[in-house]
Amino acid sequence: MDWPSLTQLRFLAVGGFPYGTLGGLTMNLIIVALALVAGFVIGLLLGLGRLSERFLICRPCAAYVELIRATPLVMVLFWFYFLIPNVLGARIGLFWTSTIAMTVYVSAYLAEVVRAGMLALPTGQPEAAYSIGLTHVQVLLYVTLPQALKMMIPAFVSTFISLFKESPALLMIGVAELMDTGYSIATLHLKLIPATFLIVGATFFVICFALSRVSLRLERKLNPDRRAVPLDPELQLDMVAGAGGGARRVGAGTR
Amino acid sequence: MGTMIREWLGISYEFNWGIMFQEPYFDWFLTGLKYTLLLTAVTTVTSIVLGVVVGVMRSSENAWLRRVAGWYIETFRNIPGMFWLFFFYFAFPVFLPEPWSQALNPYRHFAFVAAVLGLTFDNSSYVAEIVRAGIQGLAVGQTEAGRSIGLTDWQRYRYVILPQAIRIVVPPLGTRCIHNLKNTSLALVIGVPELTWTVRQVESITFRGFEMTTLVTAVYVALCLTMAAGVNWMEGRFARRDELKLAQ
Repeated sequence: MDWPSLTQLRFLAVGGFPYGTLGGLTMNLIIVALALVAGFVIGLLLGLGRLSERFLICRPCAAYVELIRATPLVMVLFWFYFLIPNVLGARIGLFWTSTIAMTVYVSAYLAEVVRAGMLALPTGQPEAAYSIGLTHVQVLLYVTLPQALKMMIPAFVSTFISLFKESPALLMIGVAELMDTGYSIATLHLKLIPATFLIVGATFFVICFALSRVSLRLERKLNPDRRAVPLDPELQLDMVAGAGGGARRVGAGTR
Repeated sequence: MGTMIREWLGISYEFNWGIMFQEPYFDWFLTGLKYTLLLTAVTTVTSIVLGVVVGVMRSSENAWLRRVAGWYIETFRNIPGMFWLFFFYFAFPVFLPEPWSQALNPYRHFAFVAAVLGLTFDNSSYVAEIVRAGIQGLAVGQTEAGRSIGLTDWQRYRYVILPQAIRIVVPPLGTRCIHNLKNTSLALVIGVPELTWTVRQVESITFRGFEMTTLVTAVYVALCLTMAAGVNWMEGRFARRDELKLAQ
């Protein structure tokens, strides 16, 4: 089996970085990380908004979340890809286009994570806080949100994994991410097909596998009694890992 | 009205929403819809069948079956679906013996077959995890009871475990199938002419990608919501059937 040269390996890792545009694995990680951070802010607002009792706040948030969750990532990418330069006339480059699209996409999923986390809190917590005379904002900032956020940490890691696994879709709008660089190498040097696919696949596997173990460990550490964060099965991202982990532990106890 | 809004927003782009209903673009759209539906239907069935087999293996008592199923699940779950599409289209034929890959070369529908393989393997690993969680979520007493009245392994799964597990499994499985429908939008990269392909095709000929994307997105949303309604209906049916049984 022929193996890629060092230059080609560097191309997989950072694209043409020092001389050309950034790409490869670094591109995936940077875009996913930026989208997750920005998406967290939007998702937090959306998730809290969806829990609001005011019709005018709750319904638009719910509509946004449901709309994005019923749309493939590719469509969101295309939409922003065509909207920003053609319709709005702004030139911001592929990197920012894809970061914005990924942010919009992931914020809907993070909103669901936030909502599930808030709903998982025992109702006694806000009740106790209200009864000692705290205001709405104080209850949220000092009582419910800190507890809920702590329990949501494993779900954030899972969301990172899922978004990372969906990030190869970026190649559809021409971002030179890991899968795309691997594909270019493989099509230019047909002998390198097996090795390139092996390296790209192994990279994805190692990162996702390691992070999923981290997520599982965090979940065990943060919620030892497993009462917390019953992840909404509709979250469909990687939430099965949460449900499966629970079932596995139940099985281990009774077998 | 449209002009006013555009002027107010400062947009110089002239929308042409009728593009989808002109020939030949409408034909392309229908082709795309056909392939998306076909790909969804085929991969849903195949991945559920494969996923149930692997999920049952994963929860079996044979350590080797469990281990192999575990490797299968971890491999396909931790590597993106896009990778598997590329893999089955470009790399898989390389591993075949020379005459076989030569014979595959002129095969017109290979892209579709590769897309089915890629999406099936990707989705079946998630289905297997769901099935395993469903089976292990049942009380161990169910297995023991089945065994103690002398059922064979096959009878135990067929009459005791799977009918109960299916109730637990339907909601996450439905969600997974919706996700699979959305994943078919990736098949464009290996040249399957589905809905996403329509967008690219229309954009490259007429530069009306924005309109087409919006319309195709609406179709995807409609398909996903229909499927979600179907899953809800199935869930309700199972619940009602259980209530009837309890009442009798």
